[in-house]
Amino acid sequence: MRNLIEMPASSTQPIVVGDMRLTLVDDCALVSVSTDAMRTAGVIELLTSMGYPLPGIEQNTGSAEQGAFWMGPHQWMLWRDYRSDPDWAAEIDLQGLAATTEQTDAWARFDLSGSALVSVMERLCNLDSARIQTGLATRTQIHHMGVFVVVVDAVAQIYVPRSMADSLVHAVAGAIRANLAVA
Amino acid sequence: MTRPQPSIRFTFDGQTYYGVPGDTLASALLANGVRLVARSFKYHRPRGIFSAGSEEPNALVTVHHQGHPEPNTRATTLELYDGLKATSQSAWPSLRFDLMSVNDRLSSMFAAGFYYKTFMWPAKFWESLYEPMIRRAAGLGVLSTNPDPSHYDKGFLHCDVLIVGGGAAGLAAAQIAGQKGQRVILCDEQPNLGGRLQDEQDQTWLDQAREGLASYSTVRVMTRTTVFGTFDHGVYGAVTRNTEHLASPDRDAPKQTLWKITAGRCVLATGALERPIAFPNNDRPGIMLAGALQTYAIRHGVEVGQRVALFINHEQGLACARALQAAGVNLVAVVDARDTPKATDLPHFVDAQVTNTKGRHALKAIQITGSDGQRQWIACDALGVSGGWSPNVQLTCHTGARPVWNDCLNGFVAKSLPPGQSVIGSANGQYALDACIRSANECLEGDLPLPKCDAVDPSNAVALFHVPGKAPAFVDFQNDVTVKDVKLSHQEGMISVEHLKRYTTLGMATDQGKTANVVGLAVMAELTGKTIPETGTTVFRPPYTPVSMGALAGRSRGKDFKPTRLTPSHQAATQRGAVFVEVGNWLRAQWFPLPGETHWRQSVDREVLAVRQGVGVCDVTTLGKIDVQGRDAAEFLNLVYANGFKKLPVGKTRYGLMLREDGIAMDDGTAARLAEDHFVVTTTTANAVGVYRHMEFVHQCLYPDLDVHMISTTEGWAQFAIAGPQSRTLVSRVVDMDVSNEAFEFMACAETRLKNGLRARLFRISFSGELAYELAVPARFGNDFFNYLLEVGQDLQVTPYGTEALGVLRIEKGHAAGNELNGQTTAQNLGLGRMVSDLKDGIGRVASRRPALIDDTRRLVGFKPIDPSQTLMGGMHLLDLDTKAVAENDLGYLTSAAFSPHVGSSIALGFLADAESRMGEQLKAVSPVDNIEVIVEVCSAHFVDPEGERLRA
Repeated sequence: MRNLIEMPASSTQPIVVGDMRLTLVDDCALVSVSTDAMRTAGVIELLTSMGYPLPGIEQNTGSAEQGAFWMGPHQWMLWRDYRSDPDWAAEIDLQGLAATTEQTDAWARFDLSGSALVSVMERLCNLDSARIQTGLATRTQIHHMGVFVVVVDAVAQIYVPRSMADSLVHAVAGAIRANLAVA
Repeated sequence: MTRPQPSIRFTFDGQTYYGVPGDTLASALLANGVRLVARSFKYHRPRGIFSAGSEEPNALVTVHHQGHPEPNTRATTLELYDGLKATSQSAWPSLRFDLMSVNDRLSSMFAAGFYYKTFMWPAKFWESLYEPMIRRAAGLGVLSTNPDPSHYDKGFLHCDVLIVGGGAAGLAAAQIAGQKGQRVILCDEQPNLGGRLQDEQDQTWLDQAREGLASYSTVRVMTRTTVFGTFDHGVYGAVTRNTEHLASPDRDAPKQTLWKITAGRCVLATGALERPIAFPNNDRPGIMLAGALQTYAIRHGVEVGQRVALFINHEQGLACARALQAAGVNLVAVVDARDTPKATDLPHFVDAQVTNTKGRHALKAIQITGSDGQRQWIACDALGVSGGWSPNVQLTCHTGARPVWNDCLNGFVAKSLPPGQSVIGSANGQYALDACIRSANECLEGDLPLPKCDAVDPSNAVALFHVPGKAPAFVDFQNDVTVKDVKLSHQEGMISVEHLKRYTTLGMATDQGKTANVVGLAVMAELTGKTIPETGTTVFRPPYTPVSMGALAGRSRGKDFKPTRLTPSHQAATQRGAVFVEVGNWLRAQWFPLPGETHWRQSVDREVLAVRQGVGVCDVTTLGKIDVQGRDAAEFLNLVYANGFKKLPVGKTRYGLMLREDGIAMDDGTAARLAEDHFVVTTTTANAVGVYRHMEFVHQCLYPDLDVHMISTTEGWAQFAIAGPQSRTLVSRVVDMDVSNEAFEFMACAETRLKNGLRARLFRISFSGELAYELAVPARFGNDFFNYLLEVGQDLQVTPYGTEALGVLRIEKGHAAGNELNGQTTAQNLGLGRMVSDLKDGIGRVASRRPALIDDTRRLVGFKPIDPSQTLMGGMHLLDLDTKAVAENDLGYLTSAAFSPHVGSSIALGFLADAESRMGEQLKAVSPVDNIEVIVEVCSAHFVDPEGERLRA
């Protein structure tokens, strides 16, 4: 059987308007982690030892290679490079302290950056602009799409359900253009 | 009075005029000597410009923006731009010679509530004749039936302090909050900050305030932005008009942006609205609010009249008169209702009232009557009226509070406020500049210096709301409500002010009675012999000014109304010419037409037969997939499903039925046990979110102690149904495992690998009744995997099939789906009563035993027409052959219908009362809506393989 060809979640061609840029990041492997109050401390200890220090509420942590962001009470998403190990999700062993689920293809990640990041985000989601700073991870809605917004180094990483990737691009591109037109 | 050389070209009713930068349409029309700009709502009386702001009741025009007519636009707020094209409304054949003004002559027929009393006979004429006739004769502008070519936007803002109104108080508040480093949003509906300070000769304080504000980086100034509503939890609605003042706006610029502002606190500095006085013939063009005269004279340099009069009842009116005089306005009379010392610097008529006016299309003279009864006519072409000021309290009332009457101010002021809201300045009855700044200092603990100003005592006024007389005295200009109408409604038993409003329409329409409400209330109070506080006030609701539907919709229009979800194989399906159908937000392939197929039925019949006879592939990714893990996962599923799951072995899948808490069937699906503590639950496409939400509710609220973790994986896996007698052959070519019946029997499941090593999940489940599998791969490979299955199964004549064939296959098999799980049916109705286990507890079990549900004898059975050429439709009702199609004879209804190529006729599923005893009977299926009646035979719901041998093969 031949190898199957991957289909990116949306166009890999970035949207560039002025200095605003929206790029699909299709090489991000994701695993969700869910535990409970009793086992959270153990999970944090274990994952920290594995190189994934877990962030606090509405926060993200990580390096250039891997990291984690908060998803909900006792829930996090771990990420790392997909290409180096597509089966990474199945290999994570949290010793019964938490449930893990592969989420790599459940979400499409788009990176939004540029000088008008805050004002574009204001047109997209009900997120306090003062909070759009490195370290943020929150769940919100963009044009009726449930998304995660993770901010790292003046870049907003928007995680949208994969099937809605094109709709997200359309929404963000519209907001970028509208913002530029009325600026 | 200075005014630059006019340079901006515009047209009104086809006539070309010129205005200057900073003009509104109203100021430009007045500068060009245009007085008559509208006809009134009911009587078609000539009307002119009455105000200089958003409270305007008269000067509503239609603006033709980008060729699209925008009716009911206030000329007083519309900023002039080059090429602006406006037309008058509600006049025929022309504004000047409006034949409908005959209504004015017949005004006695059209008194308040006339439509409740006239046109009573014949009753059937009301909808067909009378109402359309009245609507043509009365009303405001006409909406275009074409789509609005503009686009709109939405956004969200957050701040520590929202300040509404950029007048003296608002500017002061913004400076104080800015000094403290607070995040401030300052909104003003006008293009420039300053409010009424812009109408003063001395702009020193205003200039300093504007400059000061610019130095605070945390202060965001939003002009042309109307805060239109107060909502719960410190949320305010606002609309910014981005392009309506521009001749050639950027194509990408939204016309308006709707903002949802979440504010830590809100300071209302919304100012006050000047009140008119209702006196006979007070609506002639040229009569306007005194403050508007001042705005046009000082802010716009427009001389509204050659001979100008004022009618006032308070001290501030004199200040207005002096400001006008200083601006060069030729004041011929200041009619003051107060018995007060005569001002020597003004033509001051004290203890006098304006009792009538002359001039059909423009004011020509006013009649002044003194307290001694002496009358005199004075020629004038403009009259400014000021009956006092009403603090603008609307935004304090949107969450239910009512303002209270203040005798000293002769106006309503806010009393109980929504949490986090404060009112300052004129909006709180603190009118003078120093009072505004003092109130801002007090509210925000600031220490801005107070400028020196002339003291004006707001209580130096007489309460004057209307002047008696025979001619109509208008209380509400926009709705043509007169003092007489208020009297009439009182005579006819309207006691409450709410009754008055409904009976007369006082305070309705686009201006929401901004200039009318208090006057109407005062007249009502006088008639009832009560005080104004005893009479009460009406409720103010959002929006403060009209908000266009476009702004409310934002970008959510047309295909952008909702997001579109694409299946993993969407591109492959598109390349194969699939016809798509919307299923919720999903776009699914409905069928795959082949060359030569000219009708959808040809494609669907072919696909159905291909599955029955060979093998077909269908993308079923859209079905919900919920990953359920934890020590108590099995126990949890045992609770959420009506049937048992605790003992389901690892590697097996079970069909499950979920009930709602009220015992009604909620959804069906499967749960596959991948490990002792790991299940994958599938749901119907339509209920994917609902089921997940229900499961979270059950866990978080009912059984929080269970160790269960859930997350949706619907998007993560591309899942394909591979169905038909040849499906095993096809699956065995791609999956790296033994899929023989012995090794992988019906309802088996496994985490596995494809032959190329890619991880996959395999389920032996069937929706079609055929030998079938569902095979899932990571979503990014779904498109090519679909192509590969069709490639590798070519010799098996593998056929892609869509949702239409999927539906036919499941109806042939008698499987319930969304049509049957319609929120009204029980497990018993569905023929699944035995699935509701009594051996364990489960959500909805007890409620499903309610007599009302138990006694329902309807069961899901099949139907086929006696005449195979006839067509059945979902929704048809079932009746005995000899009964009439009326509700009491109803025996049930068809839920799903399709043409079955297997049976060779139309077939249907449906719920029928006492179905078991009616097997083989003939009934009629009727659709009174379509006037169709088909004789049907009651049969098993399983049209294909009732014993289930095929799917176990």
